[in-house]
Amino acid sequence: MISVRLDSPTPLVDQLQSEIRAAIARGLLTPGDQLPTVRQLAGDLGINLNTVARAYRGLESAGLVVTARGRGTRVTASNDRLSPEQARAEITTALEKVSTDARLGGLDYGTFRQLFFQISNEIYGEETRHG
Amino acid sequence: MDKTTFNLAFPLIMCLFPAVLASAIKTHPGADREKIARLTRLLWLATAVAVAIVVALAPVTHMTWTLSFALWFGLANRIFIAKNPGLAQPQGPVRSASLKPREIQSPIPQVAWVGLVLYVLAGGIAIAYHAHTNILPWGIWSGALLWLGLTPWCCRAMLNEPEPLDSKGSPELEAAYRDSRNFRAWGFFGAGLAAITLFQGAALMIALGLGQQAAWVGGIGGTLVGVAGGVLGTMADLRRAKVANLRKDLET
Repeated sequence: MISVRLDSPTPLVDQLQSEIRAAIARGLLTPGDQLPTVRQLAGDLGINLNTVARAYRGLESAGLVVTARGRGTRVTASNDRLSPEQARAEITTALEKVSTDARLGGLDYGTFRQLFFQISNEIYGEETRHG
Repeated sequence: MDKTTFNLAFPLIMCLFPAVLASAIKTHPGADREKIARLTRLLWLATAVAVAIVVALAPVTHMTWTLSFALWFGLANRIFIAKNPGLAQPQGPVRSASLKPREIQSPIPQVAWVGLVLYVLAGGIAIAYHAHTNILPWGIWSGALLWLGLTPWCCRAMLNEPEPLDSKGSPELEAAYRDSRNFRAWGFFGAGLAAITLFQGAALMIALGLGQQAAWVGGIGGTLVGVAGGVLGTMADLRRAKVANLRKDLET
C-alpha cells in the first residue's frame, strides 16, 4: 500500500516516487512485479493521471521500472543500477541534505537519530538483526 | 396473461419497486434519520400518484412503467445515499491505494470464457443446420456475437472502479472491495450469458419456424433480463454502499 498527503508541501510526484522506491527497497515489490496502471492508481488516490504518469516516468529514468506498451509497468531492479561506490556517494549526499534539513528544522540530535534508526530498521528489516 | 393485465401488472411492479427497495435498505447508524423519514414519506406519496396513473392508463398502455425512473432517480436514490453516508463522504487529504494491479485479478477463469465462445459457436451451428436460406435468424444471432464481444470488455471495466483504501490499508476493506468487484464482474458475465441465450434462443426458434412464439419469448425474456439487470445493479450499489460505510468507519 502507498499513501500520499495532498496537504504536504512535497509535490505529489515526489511523494509517489518515494513511496514506490520504499516499497521496492523493503522488498514489497520485487523485480518482475507489475505496478497498477496509471488510471487505476490515479483513480484510487483521487489525483490527476498526469501526476502518476510523471512519477512512473521518473522511476523509469532512475532504472527502477520499465514500461512496455501493452504490458504495463514492471519493477526491473532493486539496488543493482549503481556500483557500490556510486551508491555510497549518492547516499552520502542525500544524508547530508537530510541532516542539514533536520538541524535547520530544529530537530535535536536525539530525535533525528531515533527517526533515522526507526526508518532504516523498517527498510532493512531482518538485516538489522544480523548486522 | 391478456394485454390489459400485463399493462397493469408490469408497470405496477416497476413503480412499487423503488419505494419497496428504498424502505427495505438498512440505515447506517450515522445517518440523518429525520431526512430519511421525510424523503421516504415523499417517495411513498409519489408512488401512490404513479400507481393511480398506471391504473387509469392500464387499458391503453404499459409505458407508464417509465414513471419508475422518476421515482428511482428523483427520490429512492437520494434515500439510498442518505441511508449510507459513507457514499457521500469526500476523501480526506491523506490518500491511500494498493500497489497490486487489478487487471490481473479477474475472478472469471479462462475456462468460463472458452465455454462462452463454444456456447455461441454451438448456437451458430444449430442455426446453420435449421435456417437454410432464411437470413433473419443470422441477423438475430449477430446480437449474440455482439454480446460475446461486449461481455469481456464490460467485465474488465468492472475491475477498474476506484478502490481508495483507508490510511491503515485495512485488510477487511481490501476484502470488501474484492467481494464487490467480483460480484460486479460475475454479474456482467451472467448478464452477457443471459443476453446471448436470449438472442440465440430467438434466432433458433425463428429458424425452426416458431416465429410467433419467438416474439413472446423475446418480449418476456427481454423484460426479465432488463429487470434482472436492474436488480443486479441495485445489489452492486448496495455492496458499494457497504464498502463506503466500512471505509468511513475505519477512518473514524
